[in-house]
Amino acid sequence: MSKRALSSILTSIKKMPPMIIICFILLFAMIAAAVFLPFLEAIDPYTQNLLGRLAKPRFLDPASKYVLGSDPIGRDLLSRTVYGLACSLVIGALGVIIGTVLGVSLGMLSGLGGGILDNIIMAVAELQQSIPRTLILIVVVVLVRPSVTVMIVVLGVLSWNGYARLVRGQILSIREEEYVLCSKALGASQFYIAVKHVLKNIASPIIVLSTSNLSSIILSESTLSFLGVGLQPPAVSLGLMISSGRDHLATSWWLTIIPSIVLALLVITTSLIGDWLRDVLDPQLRHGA
Amino acid sequence: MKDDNVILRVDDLRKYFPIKKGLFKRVVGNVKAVDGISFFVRKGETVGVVGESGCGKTTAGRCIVRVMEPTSGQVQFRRGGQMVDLLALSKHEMKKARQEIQMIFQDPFSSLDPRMTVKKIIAEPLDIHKIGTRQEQEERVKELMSHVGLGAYQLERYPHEFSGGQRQRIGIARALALNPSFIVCDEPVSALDVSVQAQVINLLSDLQEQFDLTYLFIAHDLSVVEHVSDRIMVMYVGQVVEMTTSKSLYTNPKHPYTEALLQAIPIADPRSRRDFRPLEGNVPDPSNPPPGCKFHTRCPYVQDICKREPPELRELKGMHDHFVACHRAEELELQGIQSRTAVSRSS
Repeated sequence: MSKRALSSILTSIKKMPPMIIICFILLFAMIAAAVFLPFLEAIDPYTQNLLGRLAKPRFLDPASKYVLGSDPIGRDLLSRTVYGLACSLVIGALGVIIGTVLGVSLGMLSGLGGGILDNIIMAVAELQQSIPRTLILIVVVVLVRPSVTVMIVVLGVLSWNGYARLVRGQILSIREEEYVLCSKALGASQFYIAVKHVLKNIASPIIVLSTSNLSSIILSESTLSFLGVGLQPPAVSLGLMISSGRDHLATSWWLTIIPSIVLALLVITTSLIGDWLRDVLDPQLRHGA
Repeated sequence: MKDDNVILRVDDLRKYFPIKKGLFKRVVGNVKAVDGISFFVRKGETVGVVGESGCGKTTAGRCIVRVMEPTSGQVQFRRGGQMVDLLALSKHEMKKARQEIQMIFQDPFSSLDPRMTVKKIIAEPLDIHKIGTRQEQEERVKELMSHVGLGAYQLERYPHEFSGGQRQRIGIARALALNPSFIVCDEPVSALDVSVQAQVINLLSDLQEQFDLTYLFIAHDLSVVEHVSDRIMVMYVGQVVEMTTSKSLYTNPKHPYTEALLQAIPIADPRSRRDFRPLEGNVPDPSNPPPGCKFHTRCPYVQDICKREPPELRELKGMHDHFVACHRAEELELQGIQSRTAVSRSS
């Protein structure tokens, strides 16, 4: 990257809207909590304390032993929320990486290769799209014992078709641009064109799709866990917590609401940051803004 | 042609686009975009190509630089004193030959990658052919930018920061990067304002002199082509109908279609009144062209023979370098217009 491009990216970071600053602070706080709190927190998320069952959080009962209260078998809600957050972040991030790599390479293969390969890849993508994702997920996790690894792989792989379609569509339009013809007239290989022109021009829609997929993978995992076919107790996940807290919603609402708020914040911040990134990465919008 | 000076000779070039229909993509017909054109270009000259939209000019240009694979035909190009058929070259040999043949594109907005800086755009040919170190490439880019009238301070800018004319200059600089001998200019000024058109055309002629370039200049505007071309080729529905020197094309057209094109050039004089008969009808469908002469459906001088037999492109007797594809070329008294180049240059 050239100096000038770098400096103009720096200016747009300086001109970051306050909303995005808040999002970044929140996201970093969540990541930091997920990374460091498990080491600092003295209370283990699995330790049960039957005498401290359903304790109220401190903001309701200042004398409470637990900062965010405790669940029906007396496990600390704060440390469980942090563990659940870490779990969601790991599944989301790794899932997105798997989906992006798989989807972008298949999409490029399809768009640049064309022919029968294109037909096969797009047929599979359409087939998958015609079956509800949650249904596929339920079938898979019933067949395979769900664990964090299984969730990452399954959710990641299943998100490939969005990328593949996007990349293929972009390639079909970029392929006709005169600058690609020009590269061809200069004798550039397909690979050169793919890397130098196509990837650069499709990077920003991919980034936006990745961030929106990050939130949808996190949500899918929570949905599955909520339905009882995702991660199984005693594993900790935000979806599981929301699901198990539901039985006590009338009396101990914080069991459901606190993990829900964390989940919602995670999803909102990642989507907003994704939108902002798209604008920063586009040289035309960068100068307009 | 025994001419030693010929740098490019195109023989019976054809490009058909198949029309596929139905579930099994059966070929039901062909769009004959370029339907057997033959011509030659001498070293150092500019050959203009004119014709309506859809007559196959651009397709022909793209087939010559082999961005598109033609259906059949030969493209002979002089490399190191020998004529080589570009279409018969292997991928590897073709890549080497490409250094000598470059293309300038029509749309200055789509011909530059919006995500690349000017430096990277102009250096791309060097990059693809792996010429020079980074440092040397940058020096070369600066040199090229000064040739086309851009400043080195604009090196790190993106295409959207430039005007249409400046963008076209960037495209020209890129085409010059490998020191080509032959450049196909595909309507290089048709997307520009009239005032900018003149600047870019003058730049192209200056560069031609400076670097001893040969141009194939594709345009749909006769007045632009007249200005730059030594010889002009008129195309109609994928075929060449007339080819001769600019002067004789303007003053002494031999094909009715050329006459119609000349009559359609506006005259910048509000008092001028002339008998103007625009052509009737439309350009025939290139997937289903009429039999005989393709122009007979619109030709005011049509006779029976025109509907039956397609005319050959032939050199007129007693007229050097004047090729025409019309049965009645000798007998027709066609109206030319006064060449305005002389007038506009002296004023």
